[in-house]
Amino acid sequence: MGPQSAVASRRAQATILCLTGDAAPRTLGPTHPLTSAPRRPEIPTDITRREALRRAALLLGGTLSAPTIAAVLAGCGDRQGPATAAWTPRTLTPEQNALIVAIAGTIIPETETPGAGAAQVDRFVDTMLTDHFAADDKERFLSGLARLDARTRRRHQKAFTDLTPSEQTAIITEMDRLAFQEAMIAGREPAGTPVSPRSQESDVQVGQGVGQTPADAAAEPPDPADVGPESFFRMMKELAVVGYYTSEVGQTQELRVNPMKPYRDIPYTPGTPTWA
Amino acid sequence: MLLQQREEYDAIVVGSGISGGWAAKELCEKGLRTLVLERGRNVEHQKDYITEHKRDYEFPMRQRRITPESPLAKDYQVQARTGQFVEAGVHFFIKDAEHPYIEEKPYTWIQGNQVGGRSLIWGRQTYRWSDLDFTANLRDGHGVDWPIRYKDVEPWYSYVERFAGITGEKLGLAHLPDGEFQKPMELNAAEQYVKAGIEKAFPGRHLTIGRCAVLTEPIGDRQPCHYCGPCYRGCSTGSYFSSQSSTLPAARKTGKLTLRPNSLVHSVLYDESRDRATGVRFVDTGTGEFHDVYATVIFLCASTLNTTRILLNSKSSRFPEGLGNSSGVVGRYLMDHHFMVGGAGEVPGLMDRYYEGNRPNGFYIPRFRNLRGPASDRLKFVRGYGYQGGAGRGGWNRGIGEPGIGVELKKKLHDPGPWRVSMLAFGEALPDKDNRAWLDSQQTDTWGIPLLRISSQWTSNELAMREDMRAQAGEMLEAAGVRNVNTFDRHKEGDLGAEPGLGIHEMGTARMGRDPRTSALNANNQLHDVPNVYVTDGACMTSSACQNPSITYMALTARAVDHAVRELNRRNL
Repeated sequence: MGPQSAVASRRAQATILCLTGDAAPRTLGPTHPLTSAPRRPEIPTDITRREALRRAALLLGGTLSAPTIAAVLAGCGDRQGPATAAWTPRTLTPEQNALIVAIAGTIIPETETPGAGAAQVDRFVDTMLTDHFAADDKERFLSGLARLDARTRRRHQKAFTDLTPSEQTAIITEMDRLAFQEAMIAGREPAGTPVSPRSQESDVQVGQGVGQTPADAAAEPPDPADVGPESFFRMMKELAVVGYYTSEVGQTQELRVNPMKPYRDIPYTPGTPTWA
Repeated sequence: MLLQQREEYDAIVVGSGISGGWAAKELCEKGLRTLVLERGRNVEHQKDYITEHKRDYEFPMRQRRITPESPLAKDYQVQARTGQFVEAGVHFFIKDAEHPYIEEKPYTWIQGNQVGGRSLIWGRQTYRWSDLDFTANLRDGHGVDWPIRYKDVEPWYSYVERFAGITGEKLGLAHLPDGEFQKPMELNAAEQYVKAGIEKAFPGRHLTIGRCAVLTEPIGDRQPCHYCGPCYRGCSTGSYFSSQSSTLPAARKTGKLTLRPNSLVHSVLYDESRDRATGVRFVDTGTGEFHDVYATVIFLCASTLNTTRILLNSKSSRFPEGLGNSSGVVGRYLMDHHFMVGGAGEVPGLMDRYYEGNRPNGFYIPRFRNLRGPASDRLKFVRGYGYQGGAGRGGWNRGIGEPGIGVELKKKLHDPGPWRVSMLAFGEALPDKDNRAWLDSQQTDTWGIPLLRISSQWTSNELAMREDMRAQAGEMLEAAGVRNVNTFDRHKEGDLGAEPGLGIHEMGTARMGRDPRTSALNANNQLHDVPNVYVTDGACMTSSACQNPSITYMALTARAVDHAVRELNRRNL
């Protein structure tokens, strides 16, 4: 099989299209008589950091390890996230998980509607890394995460999770710019590439950039592995976008579910959410 | 060994998919005690559609496509090549690790492994063939002549369409005959825009809503489509045609049906003294025990390549190369539709239009090349192709491939994006002797049955056709006013991308024909050599046309059963 996934992804889209005639993912409204009552796990959106810690401590029988505390605190880092300790990541370390929460929360922040934190995008990322990603893709992702962390520390002498929201946004904006550099030159990319780990050979050195000691961190040239369609940030962004918009929060609070009604043309008014 | 009572039926049907289900229904309704052997597990209508109506967030991986590289695809290295292989549908695909085959050249064999077979996960597009198709081989000399014409199949198309329930729009085209249609589904605003543009720029070309086996009006207990979208998970209202929703209940109602899942057929039993098949040998995949069962007439509907494997493995002194294979054609002339070529682009404007409901259907552009004969347009290729496509407004997933983060990204993805249209061509493949499947001389499966070895590649005609498929997609979209049109062709010689098999329309390895020396089956789908064995799945096809083939398998199956029962009554079998 080997280096197929990029093509395979496009093929996936096209194949689904040819057999269903509709490239958009279809979903089912919770109002159909066949659907059992929709399960809506309680998603706290106004949880305080103190409350999160209290609940976590209760769940863990009153003791909290330092990394767990870090994770719990980081879980609140995007200003709205839930943070129960009932869940522990299978692949990510608590520190990595905290970083994911912060990055995803910067890509999709809380606004009038909940953001990536409330949608528990970190859990989705951990699931994908554990069960879905091939080993080399997992390594590429984690080394990208480490690179971002190291770069942040060089520039700010702080962890990403400890930065202010505007500092976090500045870093993620730059990551996004680098990741879409080619796209911005070449123009718009076809939308809707499904999450599928890349397996193509890369000339990027894993871990490159970590441990460098540039005199001026702000002027630090970008790592090649952070530029273009194969960059770490593209993976990260895809996971954040998919994780958010396929979550219950994303589908029912941010967007809306396309009802099970005979298909027809309808008028559209701007500001009405797209179908989930 | 225990003494066992000889298990006898009037008829045995191998396979319970689209063809097998029809054979079972027709045989049972004509009063024959019928045994259906299905190699896969049982799947009960409604109860076993375990992912139906689940939301994306109820799946750990949120319904992402599972690619071969994913650890989850470990046992599904071939199945994961198709875009159909997603989290919600894994349980309706075969485990390649347990049912291997050998690829001499890249060949993707997508298989179901359950009662209902691929009828549960099929694309449901249904287009009649015409005499342009049934006479093609005769007129351009590729392959042998079909022993039947449209008039032979026409009443049977009507018969199966009325039962299956086909939605579609009548166009009055000679080369794509209208059927017994229920009311059509709707095209959306962008599709209507593209339709108007193409039909204006190219008189004689048409864009129509897909003809498909999904109800828009009730049939018996089956309800009209409720537009939930993902048919491939199974449909508890029976709104799309499947063996579960349609044919097997009809067969069961007669009291004549015995359905045996987990029963993998090894071979057809043949009695040389009577020159007839007497039954089949199968292995119970649960216990590993072999059983022989007997019947007067046998229908092989195991799907093209599995039927081929059974025939080739049914060796006797009379048929050392496999049952009914005195011609040597069994396994040869393997065809599929070639696709993964087409175009896409942005439809301007219409930002005040949207759609509701989840339509399990798209549009169709019927063949427009070589309509007066297989080479009538004097192009670089013979025969033709059609397009299947759809339009929709950009969804949240455009956020993956476009720059932007934060509040701005969220704001952008909140509203639907511009309209995009895309279409894929499906092209006819020529029958080629060297595209074939045969039994490996060494390797066997768990049950000692020789593995199938497959070698297939597109011929120069398909490759020349693909250039036109791509170019015409671009020309039509641009003429319709679509912007930023890009065209694509995923074919890579000797590699995956648009390899044979991926179209999941494999056919032709036991073709019908007039001459027993050059074909395996006669005009009634009987083996020339062994008249009480009928083959009515894709193996019987003499040419591939460019239309989705399942409705033709249904019609040929019903027609063959009618013949078989008449022959039985005349004691000719």
